[in-house]
Amino acid sequence: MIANYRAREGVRTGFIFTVTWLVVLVAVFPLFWALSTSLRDNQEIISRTPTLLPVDFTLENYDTMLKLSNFPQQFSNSTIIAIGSSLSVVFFGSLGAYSLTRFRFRGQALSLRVVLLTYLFPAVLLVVPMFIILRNLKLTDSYAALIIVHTATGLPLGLWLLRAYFQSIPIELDQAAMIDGASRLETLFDVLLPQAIPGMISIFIFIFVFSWGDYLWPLILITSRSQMTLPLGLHTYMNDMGFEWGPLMAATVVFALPVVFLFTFIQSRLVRGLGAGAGAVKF
Amino acid sequence: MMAKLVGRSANVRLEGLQKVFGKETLAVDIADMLIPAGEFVTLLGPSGCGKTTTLKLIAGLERPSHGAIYFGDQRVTDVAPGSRDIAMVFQNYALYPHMTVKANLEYGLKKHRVARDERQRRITWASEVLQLERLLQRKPRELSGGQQQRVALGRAMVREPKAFLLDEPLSNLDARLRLLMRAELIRLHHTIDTTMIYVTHDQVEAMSMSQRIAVMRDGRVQQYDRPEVIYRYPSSRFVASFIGSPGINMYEGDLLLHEGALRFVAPGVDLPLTGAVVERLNEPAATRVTLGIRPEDVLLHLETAPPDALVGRVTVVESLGPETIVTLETTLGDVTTRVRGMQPIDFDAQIPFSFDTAGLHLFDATTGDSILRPGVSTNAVKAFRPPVARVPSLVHQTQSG
Repeated sequence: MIANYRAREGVRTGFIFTVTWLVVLVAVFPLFWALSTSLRDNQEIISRTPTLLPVDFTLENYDTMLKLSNFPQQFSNSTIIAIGSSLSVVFFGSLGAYSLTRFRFRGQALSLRVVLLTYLFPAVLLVVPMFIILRNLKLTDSYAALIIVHTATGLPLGLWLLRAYFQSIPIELDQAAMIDGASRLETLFDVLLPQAIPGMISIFIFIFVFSWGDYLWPLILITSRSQMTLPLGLHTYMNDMGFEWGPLMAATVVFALPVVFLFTFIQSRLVRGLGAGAGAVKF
Repeated sequence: MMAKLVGRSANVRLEGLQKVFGKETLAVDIADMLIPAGEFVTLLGPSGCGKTTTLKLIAGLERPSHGAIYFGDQRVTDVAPGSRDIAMVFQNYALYPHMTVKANLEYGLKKHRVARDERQRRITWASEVLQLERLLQRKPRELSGGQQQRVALGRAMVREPKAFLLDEPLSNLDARLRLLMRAELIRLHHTIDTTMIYVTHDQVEAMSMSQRIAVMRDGRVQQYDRPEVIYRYPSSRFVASFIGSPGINMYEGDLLLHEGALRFVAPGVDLPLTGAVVERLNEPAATRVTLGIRPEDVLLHLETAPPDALVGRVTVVESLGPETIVTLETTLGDVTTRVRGMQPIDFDAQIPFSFDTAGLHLFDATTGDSILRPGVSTNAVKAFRPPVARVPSLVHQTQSG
């Protein structure tokens, strides 16, 4: 009886493992293939008998990408815009969440709903109005344009998530700080924000990844080569002459690195460090 | 080490204080109330009676709809909480989770621009009194409930405030620790002698710790006096029933004046009223009354009974060790009594009992107000509590909580 049960349990576990690994393989294979391709020379890339690993290992594609394209410029553009948008969402989101959880004002519930509504709009619907607004402000083709748009589209999510975080902080903490002589702003910075750090980091990562990978808005708002972000830049490897697979894959690999770094390092450290006391990072 | 804060504590006076929530709800309505400097005063009442709101009004965390609050001569109604020079201990302690114990104690001092040396002196003093020395570098989450409680007290102490406000500070502790901390709080108050305003719904805490109790109901103060006065001369049926455990016995009946003798008459009962209760009786405006008698004023006659004794059947016997609580089924209804020691009392036994008429309370059956005058002057404020001899060991055995 027991042996039978154990056997069935074993089969079950084996089945679950197999399925899980299959899904992981399907998800990871394109990334692996990009990495593998970026390390081959052109001859090998177009060869008719593909191999799993590069036969002649080479960094030539990375060299081409760095020297011949505008990659470093695009990388720094993307970094500035992604960090700018994330910080801006965290900043405004925290202030908004503070006021939504600590004050009562007319139309509070309504304002929250409206914010959520904007999040539910498909971005494409906003393309034309947003472009007109930014053109009138003479902001198109600039970092500011993308930071504003990414903040506007990311803020609803940031506000709702941070609001949940702020709600979980007992109001007595505010009151204790105020009795201790802190002003509202001091209360926010000394007492509340430290409790909301896990939430703020989650939002930061989330908005960073969104901004980093966004293709739609740079395509519409950026025209000059010097302002291009990485996703736009990747497109330049696909031109009239065909696909430059080697440099394209090299750029893709480097493009993916910051995100991979954010998720593996920061997030795992965060979950370990703060999970014990203040609640883990949730996505 | 034992710096007293007498010079710093102040009278707290509430004047026509009202707090209205929403449009109609009158949460607090206190005509006039004086909390004398250095006293331990408890606001006692069931949940929703406005006691916590009153405390928040005193703290400045809520703004009154009408009325004023004075600390000494200073009107503080419009003063921000941080500038009122008060400290508060919250039910959930509200320690800053990301700061060490030391930083928790120090935060309020920094915000009040207390010099570094002075900060250090006060932290040393408070951590000695509360035995926090070895916990100073820990974070709140690494502390037990009892330790967190002491840190919260310490954070209030170092401020050397004009008044301590305590909002049900013991209700998150387990029963054993609560008993210990109760004693610690009494000692602490004796040690630092500052005004303490304490909010609780637990009448035992109120009775055991306070110099004065304000019994509150529906936002109003029902009675404000010394605990023993409130216990012995409750001003209303509500106060009588809220204080005391087991609760007071209450019976409805009629007050009759017949041939110069006053009697309480209920179905099957005809009780002559004599002695003190007659002298204290106001003009008997109401004839429909509620008679109240505390369990210890019901006398059980286990051996010989006086001729006019009533008789009841034993339905519950609770032996607690030092006393036994006996419930009798009688023509009046259930009568709860307490007798000294462990008594061999059988269930269903018929036992004669009588009321100690000195301990009778009479209330108007419709309004619930007492129709007896208080037996002693209740206005005098006396330091009735004997000095506590063992001050130095303020905390002991509370580590394990």
